[in-house]
Amino acid sequence: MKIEDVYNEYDRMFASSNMPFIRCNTCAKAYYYPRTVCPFCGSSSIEIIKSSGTGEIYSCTEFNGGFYGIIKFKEGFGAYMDIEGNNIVTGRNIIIKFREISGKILPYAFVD
Amino acid sequence: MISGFAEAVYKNYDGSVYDLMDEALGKALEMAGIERKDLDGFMTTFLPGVFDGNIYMHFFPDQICGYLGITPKYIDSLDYGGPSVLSALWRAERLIKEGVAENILLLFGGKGSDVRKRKQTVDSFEKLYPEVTNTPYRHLINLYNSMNPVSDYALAAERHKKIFGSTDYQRAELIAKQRKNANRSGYAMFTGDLSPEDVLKSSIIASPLHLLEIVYPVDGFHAFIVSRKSGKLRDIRVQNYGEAHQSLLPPEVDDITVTPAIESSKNFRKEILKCDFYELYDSFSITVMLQLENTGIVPKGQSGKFIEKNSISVDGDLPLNTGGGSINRGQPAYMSGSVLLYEALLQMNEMASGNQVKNARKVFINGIGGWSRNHSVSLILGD
Repeated sequence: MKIEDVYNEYDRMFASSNMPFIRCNTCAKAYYYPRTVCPFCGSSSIEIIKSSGTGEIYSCTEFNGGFYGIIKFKEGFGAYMDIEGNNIVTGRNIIIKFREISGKILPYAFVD
Repeated sequence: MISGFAEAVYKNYDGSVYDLMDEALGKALEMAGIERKDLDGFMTTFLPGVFDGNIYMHFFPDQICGYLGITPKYIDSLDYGGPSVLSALWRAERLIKEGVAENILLLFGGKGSDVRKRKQTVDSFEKLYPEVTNTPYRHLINLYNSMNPVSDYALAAERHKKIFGSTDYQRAELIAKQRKNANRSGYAMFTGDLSPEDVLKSSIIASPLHLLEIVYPVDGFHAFIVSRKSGKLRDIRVQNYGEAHQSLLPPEVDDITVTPAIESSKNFRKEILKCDFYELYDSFSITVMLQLENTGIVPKGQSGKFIEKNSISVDGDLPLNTGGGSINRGQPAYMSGSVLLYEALLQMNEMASGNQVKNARKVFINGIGGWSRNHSVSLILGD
């Protein structure tokens, strides 16, 4: 797999409102930020999988009138995201939604 | 060993960055009692925006050497932000021992005000240049509403509160205590009474971090000359050293209150506890707290309570950031490493006037920084 293939697949999944991540077939760890070699074990046997799109706020911060934080997903990977919704605090459960940011469809976290 | 050291630091410097570096170098050469022609090694760093606004300069170290009139046998550029200068010191000592050079100039700094006035930091500089992509992760990082490095350290402070129960007041107390050190030193940029309440009254920039617990970017250079002969100064050297670099992003680690400082300090924890004073990187209040815990000075999660109970003044339980730290001295070009090293050298050479640590024989210095706190350098300086 080449890095462009990862980005293209991510874009396709975002466009159909699916949250992608990468599972390493060797060490079974999950990660989100595209690398064609597993950052945990160095294996190049990886696959892109659809996440449940659910998780919790690991930590969050408010600035410029919005929230931003680290989301830890059910499948074990983490990502930076904008966060929207009510009563946004560390530890709350989130679901993933999608929106266009500067011409790109990207996921953001939503607290119900 | 260091034969000369100097700073040229201003809140806002109107002239060019080349004038600033010339000033720092001139003073350091005077202290060392040598001339430009005697310098045969050069180490520096480049950060975007702080060199008269340039986002990049091709063959940067060579341009600087040419301008300053230095003909080096050895050139190096270290590119991991704040702690880089500490690594440069250790490497320069080794190069001199190997006979590669006699007098190596470490020149670190730039004009932070150029970036500050454009309402960005060196980490967020790509927001001004849409054609620049700073990470391999492209829009998955840079299109979100981040404000690095402030938002990233805010996430660490928030997590520390959540897991260990540290409080906003404890972080504010650290800032107020560092201000006391600054007031006593007589050479800080920011002085005057400052209570923890004052810190908490300052505006929240990225929750939970307040304006006054965030370092202020200023203009300046530090010049350190590492030589085979010590000249007029005390013959002090790096006694213990460790550096560590991590490649995982903060969302990918299990615990963001863990930094590479754990790794960089792990081989000499006992020695760290025996030092006479401590200079810990203070880009933010939380940065100091994470290093106190990660280098074994304080048990994990206990830095807030430790700050509440202990004095960090030069005659206190743990003399820490004795000159007030870069929080009170300003952070030249978004890097505090030189501020820590400069203060350590003042103390070790009995040049710290009203704030002198009595019998300052050993200092522990820890620098942390770069992208996402990915780099840490730990060292002990002594006889």
